[in-house]
Amino acid sequence: MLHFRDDDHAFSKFINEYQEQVFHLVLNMVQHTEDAEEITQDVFVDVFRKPDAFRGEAQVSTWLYRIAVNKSIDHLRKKQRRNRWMGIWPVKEQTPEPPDFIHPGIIAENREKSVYLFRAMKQLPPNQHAAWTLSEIENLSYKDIAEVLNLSLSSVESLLFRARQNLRKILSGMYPGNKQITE
Amino acid sequence: MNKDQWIDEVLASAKGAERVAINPYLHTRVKAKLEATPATIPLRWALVALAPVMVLLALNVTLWRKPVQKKENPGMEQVIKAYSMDDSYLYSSANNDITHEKD
Repeated sequence: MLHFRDDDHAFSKFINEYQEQVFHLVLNMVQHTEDAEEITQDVFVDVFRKPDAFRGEAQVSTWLYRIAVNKSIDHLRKKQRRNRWMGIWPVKEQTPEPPDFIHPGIIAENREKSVYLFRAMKQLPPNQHAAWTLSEIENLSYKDIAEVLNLSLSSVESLLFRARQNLRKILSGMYPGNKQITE
Repeated sequence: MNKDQWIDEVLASAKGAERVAINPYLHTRVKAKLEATPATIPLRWALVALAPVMVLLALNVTLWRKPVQKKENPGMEQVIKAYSMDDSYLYSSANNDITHEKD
């Protein structure tokens, strides 16, 4: 169904059709443009190499979301592991802390607040991070999220509930008014 | 603005984020990646393929180290006796006496 080995034109068309969707999701997850581009490329490499993985049970877009979410979660876990090792064996020349992520697709008046949101999202466990992104930024229904994450509807609901609770807790510590109170 | 209101606004701040344009040469990059990195076999499958080879190897080593027991073959011994193929008399003391007599 999705065999592109002998049809470069069809593969190019497929990439053009879905690249923005994949890139947008990955960018929201990893919050780094170059990494997001790299992961998006890997998603399409997988599509080309493992066309039989798509069995037509879900929509192509759902299947692509699934690959993209898994790759993004892998990337986030690798990063977390690296940071943990850096904590144990600190290297002399430490890489500087990446600057806050400013999403280019968010309207100007919300940008400042979204910086706090993306900073808080980074601290969520990867599966909560993925569920929150799919629901609140990608606007997917609970049913679609369940398909992408391979979970039941009730699991998605509880995942999103916990993600919201955790985000509220993290953001509560970031509230700019806290500084004024302590000062 | 109180804290709860601020948190609610932050949580809603990414809603309706527009999709960002990606590098227009993504297709070319994907193709380059496909050509540059050969398809790799997942580790799990490599281990599955390796397992029977390791079992065979272990079996070989075990059997090789086990001492070989010589089997008695009564059928063969009977044939030797019946056709007088037993040459052990050449080395018996009786035979030695005969040779001495000749000398």
